[in-house]
Amino acid sequence: MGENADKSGPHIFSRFDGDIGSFRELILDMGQLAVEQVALAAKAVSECDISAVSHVRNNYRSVVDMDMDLLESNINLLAIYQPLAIDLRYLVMLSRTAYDLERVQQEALRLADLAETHHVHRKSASSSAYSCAVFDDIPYLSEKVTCMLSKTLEAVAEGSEEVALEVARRPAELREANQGALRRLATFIMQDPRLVQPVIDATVALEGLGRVADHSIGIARNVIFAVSGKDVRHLNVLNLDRAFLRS
Amino acid sequence: MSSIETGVVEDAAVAAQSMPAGKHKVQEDLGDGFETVGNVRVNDPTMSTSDVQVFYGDKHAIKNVSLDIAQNQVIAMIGPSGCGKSTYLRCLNRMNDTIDGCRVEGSIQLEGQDIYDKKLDVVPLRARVGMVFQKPNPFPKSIYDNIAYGPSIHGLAGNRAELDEIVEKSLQRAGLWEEVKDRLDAPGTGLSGGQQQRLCIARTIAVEPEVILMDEPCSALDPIATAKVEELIDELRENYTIAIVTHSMQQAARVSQRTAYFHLGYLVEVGETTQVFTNPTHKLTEDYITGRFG
Repeated sequence: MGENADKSGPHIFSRFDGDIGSFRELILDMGQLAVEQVALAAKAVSECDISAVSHVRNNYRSVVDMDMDLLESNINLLAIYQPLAIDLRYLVMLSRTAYDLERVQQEALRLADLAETHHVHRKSASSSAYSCAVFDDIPYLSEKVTCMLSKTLEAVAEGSEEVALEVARRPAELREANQGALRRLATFIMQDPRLVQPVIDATVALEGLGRVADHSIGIARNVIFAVSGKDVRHLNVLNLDRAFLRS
Repeated sequence: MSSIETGVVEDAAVAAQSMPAGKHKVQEDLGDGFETVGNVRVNDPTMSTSDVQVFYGDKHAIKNVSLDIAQNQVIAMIGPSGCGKSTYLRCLNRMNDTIDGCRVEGSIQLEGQDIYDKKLDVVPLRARVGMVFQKPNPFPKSIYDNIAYGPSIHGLAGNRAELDEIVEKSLQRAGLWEEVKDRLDAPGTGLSGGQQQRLCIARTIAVEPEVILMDEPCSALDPIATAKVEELIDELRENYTIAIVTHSMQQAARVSQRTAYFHLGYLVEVGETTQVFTNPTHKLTEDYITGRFG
């Protein structure tokens, strides 16, 4: 359980530590793959890279296998060890993390589908209509979102409330970046109505990245629950600050 | 409250002093100033204990335990072997009186009455606060006589018909009537382990107690018999106040509404069962229920 385990000490029945560690590692592997998938899918959209689309789709098959292994491991851990208190909260958190990561991979898959559609549109339209500038904000936001997801995985790996809080407090920053990108997209339409389709594609991509960020925040809030026992899933940032930073 | 002077040191008290150290080192004495975490008091308790201390000779087995037993609730007492949970339970109906060298201090009240009052007769007390033990211990008599014995000596039945009614009602409440109604004259010892334990519970409730104490009542039973006894405990809660000692965390979580965690004679934490098992406040409680010792 990372730092958390160090604080609590090992279990008397040491196989539990090994099994829960393997479960966590499997989730972190899935998380690492999710980070790569989102980055690859965003690249596919922004650069109209059709080979990246294939990679995302191929990788998703591994995700399905991982997801099935995770469910089996999770059920075994619950049935065999019947965990309680922090162990129970930690397992619930890992289980929810696995669900969120599968959703993130789904978002990557949707972005890949979008990139393919984008590729078709681009081929059928005049090159000027598919100005690359329309997609300029995607790499920046993709980097923000994947950094956020990596940070969340760090919180899961270490069982760190501090790192999780850092992620959970960032939605405003990301929302502002997203709103800025949407404003710029609106100006493209105003300047040239032929850009409506690419702007719609870019908007859908931004929404997908936004949902990935939401999943990261959800995972981070579950880490906080696992460590502190406080359910902060529905607290806004102000109340989150009140609950933790000012206490 | 009067003290009870006796002679033999109970195994549990010795065990408390001899837990193995090493990788998972057991916490040392928590100190005189230790305070229980959680609300030890409840509104309108059936039993109320304050600053209870139990000594087995020189061994200090229970240290300043204050705790209320709430009406029509099940309270589970958990903790490692030798932590004092059974000792504390046995104080609640003066079962420790039978142990030589045992001395009990503090206050234990049943409905406001000091149960260690010198003038109090322990026989009616033990009818009001009944006990079910780890191993089923039916009398070597018929099923009927096992139930009828208590009401007979306490004068709860005026005639045979009334006694029959008590026997049937008790066996029904214990969920055993349908299984034994055609063989009430058969020996109680001929029943299966689970049936014997439910017979003992029926025997306890036949004398209309206010409180039922259960000391690991399912530890000798198979999972099916355990499930039946747990179901019974849940039903009995409507009419009785129950205190149960168990080593099974899952059982404590299933049957109780409050849980008390004991450690080296101290009551470390008490709280709502769901809170104790999902988010305990004290680290010792968490280390114990998650299978660690800090």
